[in-house]
Amino acid sequence: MTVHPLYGKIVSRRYGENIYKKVLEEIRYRAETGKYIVRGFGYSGKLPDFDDLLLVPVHGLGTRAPVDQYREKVDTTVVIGKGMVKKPLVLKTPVMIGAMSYGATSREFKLACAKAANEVGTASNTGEGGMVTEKTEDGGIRWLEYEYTKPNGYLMVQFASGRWGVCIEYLLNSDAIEVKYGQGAKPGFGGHLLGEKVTEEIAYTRGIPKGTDCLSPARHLDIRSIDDLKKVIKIIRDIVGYEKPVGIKLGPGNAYKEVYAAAQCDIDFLAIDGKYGGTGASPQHAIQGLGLPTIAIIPQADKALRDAGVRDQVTLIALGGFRDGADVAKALALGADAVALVSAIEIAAGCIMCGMCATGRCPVGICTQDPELRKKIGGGKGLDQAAKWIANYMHAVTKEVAQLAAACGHKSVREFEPEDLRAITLEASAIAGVKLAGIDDYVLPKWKEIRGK
Amino acid sequence: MASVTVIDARNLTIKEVNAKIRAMVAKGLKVRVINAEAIYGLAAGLDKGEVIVEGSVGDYAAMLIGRREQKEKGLPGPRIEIHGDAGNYLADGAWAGEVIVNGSAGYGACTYAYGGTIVIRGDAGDGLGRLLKGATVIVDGSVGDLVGLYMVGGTIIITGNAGELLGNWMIRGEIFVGGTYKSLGNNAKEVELTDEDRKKLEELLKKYGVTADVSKFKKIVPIKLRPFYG
Repeated sequence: MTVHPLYGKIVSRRYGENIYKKVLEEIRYRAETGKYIVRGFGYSGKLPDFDDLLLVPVHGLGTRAPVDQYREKVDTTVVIGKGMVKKPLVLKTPVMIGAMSYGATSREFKLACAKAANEVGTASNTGEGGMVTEKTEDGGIRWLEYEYTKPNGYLMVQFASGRWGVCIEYLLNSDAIEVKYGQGAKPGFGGHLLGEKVTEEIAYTRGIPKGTDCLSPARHLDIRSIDDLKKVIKIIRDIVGYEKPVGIKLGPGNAYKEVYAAAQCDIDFLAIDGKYGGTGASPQHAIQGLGLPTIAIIPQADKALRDAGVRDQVTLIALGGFRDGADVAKALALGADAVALVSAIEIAAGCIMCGMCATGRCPVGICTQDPELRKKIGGGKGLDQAAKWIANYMHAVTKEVAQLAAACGHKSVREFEPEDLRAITLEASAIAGVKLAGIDDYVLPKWKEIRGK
Repeated sequence: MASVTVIDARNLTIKEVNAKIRAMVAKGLKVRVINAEAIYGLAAGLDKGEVIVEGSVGDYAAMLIGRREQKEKGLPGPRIEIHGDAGNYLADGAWAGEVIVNGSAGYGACTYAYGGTIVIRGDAGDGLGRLLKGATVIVDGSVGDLVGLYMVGGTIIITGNAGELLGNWMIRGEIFVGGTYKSLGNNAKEVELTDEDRKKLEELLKKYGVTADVSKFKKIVPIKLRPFYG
């Protein structure tokens, strides 16, 4: 059979659009190694997200008047632990630094996050790998990551399913405790840190032998029911003298059901992590296949907290896919009280998205434990430079949120509401319960019922 | 010798009981607790002192006791003795000290425990020592299934029998069984005891007054150090 000279070009070009062509090397990798792919960062592809929503500005003509951002102040403070604990977190911004573990990321990066939290007046989060510490001369322990957030910032510590480095000193040297159930990049998968990154320092912090693959199980081994969870939260509160906010983090699929259950556990805050949520290492099929878009879970969580009668008590923190002030403002309008940034913080600190996170070969000193690579933090200028970049970025995002609040006629970021949004796609309107632009109405009657207008 | 003070836990909350225990311990008093069956989290986070419980206790007794610094410096932690049964998750996440149960323990005893010694003079339920990280656990009796799941360190000694999937996915640490076990878990294998093992067993059992024939013990260890991804 003679093949026409154009035939090869035609089929090859058509295959370029084919779903298999995009993943050709991935299939070959699995075929040659028999292994699944483990990688860092988050979902790759297009889901309904914050770009599908737009904020509605006001002009004072049958609407609110805009706030004059140059002479009127927009209040950006957010409180975690409202009226429930002796020492609530009073954040100067609705933007927080999300959980990234020490182990997945370097000591210098973790300390840069803590320093930036102090500079901005917000909270950083240890993640699930314990806290960065230092030995004192008498052989004691200095809880360095906590100290670096002071005097203006806060440190939230995670109490996750691996319980790495969790001891009473860890809980006492914190400002809030987050019981981690899941994260957006791999909900239902627990946590993973490959042995390559478990150096002597990380082994010490986590209390495990050097080089050990560190697996955080898919569920807490000491919590089998809501009743158990209630007990554990009560015990944590007891250990820290009923002073600090205690909350739960989920990467929810059944957002309403799971948040409603969590709301029964006497919590001060609830963090929900949607798709686009990042990770240092996760099976790729989990990153791509599990979880729901952030814009879909915020309204569900907000509703669940309202239905449970704890909306005023519980601060709702959203994670997963935030890049700028517009994304943050849209999340607040959907129902969140604050957001926590993760991937964007790494990028602010110099991440170039090379994809080496899981291997420990991060060339910019963030996702590595290699002593030489760690020197690259802050472009080689050290953790102070990385902290400055993170703080600058967070200051800028906070200003953006405040400006957008003003344009929507709000004197406080806490005044954002769903009516401030319009969806520009049917999908976003349907899953986020936002009126569709142009028709100014919900595309699904259920949302009209829920929103009540 | 410290004088003894009694706390009647009947009708008290965890907050009230633990506050009383901490206050008494801070004064250097030895604490005796009665009627603590309904109290969960009894003595949680305690880092010093001696607490004796007359009767059984609820779930999460002695959770997170001891300090990391005590473990690292080899300093003594608190001592908690229970004259009765313990509920689920006894000594969960403990770091230092001693917990002695003169009775049986429920589900998931010593989960996540980094340090200290926990002695159960009776049987223990399923899931003992899961993700154990460094504590020493002695059960003078039999245990249920899935003992030592995901264990990364520490020692579990069982004088009686063990159930299914013993040492499932363990990657470090050691389990000694004086009786029989129904099955081994993934990545667990039985090996011969060394002289050092026998000596260690004899010393530990003697220290805590446990009588058992060391020559009959089997030792369970991990097959591979990196079974998950390596």
